[in-house]
Amino acid sequence: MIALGLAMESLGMGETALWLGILVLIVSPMLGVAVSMASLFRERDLKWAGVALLLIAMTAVATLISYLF
Amino acid sequence: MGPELLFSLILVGVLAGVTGALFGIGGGMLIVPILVIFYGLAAKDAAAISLVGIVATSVGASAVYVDKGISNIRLGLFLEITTVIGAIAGVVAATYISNAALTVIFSLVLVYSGAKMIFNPELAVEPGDCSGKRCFTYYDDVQKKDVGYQIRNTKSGAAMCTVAGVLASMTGIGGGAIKVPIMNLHMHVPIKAAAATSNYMIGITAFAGAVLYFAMGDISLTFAGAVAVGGFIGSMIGTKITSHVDGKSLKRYFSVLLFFIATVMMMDAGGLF
Repeated sequence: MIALGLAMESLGMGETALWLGILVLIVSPMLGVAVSMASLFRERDLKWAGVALLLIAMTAVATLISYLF
Repeated sequence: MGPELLFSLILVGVLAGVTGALFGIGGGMLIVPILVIFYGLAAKDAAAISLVGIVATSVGASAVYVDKGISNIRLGLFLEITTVIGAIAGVVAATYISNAALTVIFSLVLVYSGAKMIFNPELAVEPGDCSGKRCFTYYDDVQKKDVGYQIRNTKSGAAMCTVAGVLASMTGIGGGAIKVPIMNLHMHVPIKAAAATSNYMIGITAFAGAVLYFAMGDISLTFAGAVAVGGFIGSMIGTKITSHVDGKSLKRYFSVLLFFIATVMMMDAGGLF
């Protein structure tokens, strides 16, 4: 999507595709953690699923604190 | 954006992506100075673009390394929690501590780590002897066999990653550059597994900063997009190179990279960026 946005940018039409593509890219790592959490939960590895959930929560807190400061 | 500018930015991303995938660093140490010096961007704008590039590198590289079983996801999740704690503390501490002094200290730590990595051998465990909850294996393409390792010093390693999080959030760089030596030297994770695990972690670390810049509209979409495309391509190339480089050589190259990063950081502390 990002590559498409860049290609269309020269025609003055790529901004939406770029915006969406970069947004999807940025949230991908946290989506990966969420998927890991679901996978660990399915394996009944509740301890590590809890670690993943804690990481998601703490990253949200860190983002909020960074925004406030 | 003209094709020459687009192509050059993609190349910057490729360079950062290759380096990032090989060594487990984000590539920000390359992207930010290049964008500031050669493209005339303000440091803040370069940092925002760099974070997107780091995420792209992380996504590309960790997709391969996780699939191959080289990335230690559990270790990455655990250490990332302590890093985030450190990053939160760093945001608060940044208002009280001189950034220049911290950058110099950080540079000296990197030089020390680089020197130690050259001389420290890796402590491998025979896969047959690898049992217990802190013992892991991965298949090494160069040695063409399973490599086992026993994670040690978990608590102190986590504490050191907290400090790494403080330093990284205050200086804006160096998450992977400090975490890979911690995992390799202190926790006895082989360099390839340490770099692969770091690749998994740095995307999470970069997420917080990138999402803030994005929400505030402070990211140049075309610049970031070009660097991200290059970063992804570079990460694919880097993962292919990893399967042809042995761990000992990788450690040596990583040491050289640490010395380079330390030099760039000293120059930054001296006000050259």
